[in-house]
Amino acid sequence: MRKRLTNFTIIIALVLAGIYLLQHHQWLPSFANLFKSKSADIEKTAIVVREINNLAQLVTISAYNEVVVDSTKQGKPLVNPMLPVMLHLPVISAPDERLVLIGKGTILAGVDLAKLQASDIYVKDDSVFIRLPAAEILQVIINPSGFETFEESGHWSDDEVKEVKYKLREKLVANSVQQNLLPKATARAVLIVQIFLSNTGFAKVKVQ
Amino acid sequence: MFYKINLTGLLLITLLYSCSKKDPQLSHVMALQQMNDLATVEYIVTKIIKANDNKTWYKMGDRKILMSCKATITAGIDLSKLNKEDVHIDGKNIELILPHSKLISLNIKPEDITTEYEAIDVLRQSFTSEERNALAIQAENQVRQSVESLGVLQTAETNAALFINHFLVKLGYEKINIRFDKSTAQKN
Repeated sequence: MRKRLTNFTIIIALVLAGIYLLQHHQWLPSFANLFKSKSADIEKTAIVVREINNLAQLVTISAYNEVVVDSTKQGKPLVNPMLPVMLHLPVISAPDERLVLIGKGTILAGVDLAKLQASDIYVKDDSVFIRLPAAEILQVIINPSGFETFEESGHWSDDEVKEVKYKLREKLVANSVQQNLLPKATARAVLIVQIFLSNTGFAKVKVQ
Repeated sequence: MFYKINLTGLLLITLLYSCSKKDPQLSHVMALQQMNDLATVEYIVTKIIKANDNKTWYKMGDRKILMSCKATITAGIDLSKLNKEDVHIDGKNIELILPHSKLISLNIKPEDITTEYEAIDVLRQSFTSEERNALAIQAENQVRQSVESLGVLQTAETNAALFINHFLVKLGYEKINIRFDKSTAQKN
């Protein structure tokens, strides 16, 4: 009896050691992966070029920021609200639906050199004067990879999610304006154009 | 006894102090980075996002989704790489060696991603906003990988040469020769 028990223990130990070794060398599929929900992969579809636009934008500042926006939808009543009112009972509603998003975005600011007019450039011998257009926010970039869903409860339609994302983008722009992004972009643009003009052979350069 | 009371009091004060101490609020930090990029082209591209969620063996039924997205790809040249050594002036003649173009930004606006069609089996739940976003991230990566094959960088270089040529004419140069730096060709 004792011998049989020892043999049984040895067999169990060997089986366990075998499983451990197989798992250690990844020859066996892990149990965690077996029940892991597999994410849907998108198919490789064609990328169609719709438009090609010529630009002449001098991008001088990039501002990265992270903002949080949340939105709540009031839970709908579970039964017709008229019924509890008639029976003098409280209206029972489904829990509120909530969406909290974290957005990581970049704002590109600079000057649009395409707006330069002939009258904005004055050249005489080795001197040059250029009046640059006002700096502006050229792009607000929050790509899908920049969004993180912190909390999502209930059903949120495409349009409702877009509304939350717009709020997030507005917040990002408002923050950048508060940080004096445009004056900084102007100062940087002046410096870059000054260096460029000095490099292209002008001794006296004035950029405004 | 006296020490015991003192020790208890000290412990209590420490506990109260640690409870009242609030976590420092995250300050509003915006990471500013100086740039010197001359954006010369923007490509507006569209892509259909097609996915079928039927790979998890224990989930009964399928979920299919069809979305469309529009992306804006901007490319140009980095003017900070243009040094004095890259410019040769001879009277009214000028020769410039420009750096090769690079991708400046890829922008997929939230309003440019639209769910066109969704088919959900009875036993499955519809795609959450997080799941839809995860599919859009895959599309974003595919667009990013296709920048070179779309010819965005070549167009950016052509446009950069055109713009600088036009600009130098305005500055009074008559003969302009613009080339691209061969040493940076492999980096892009």
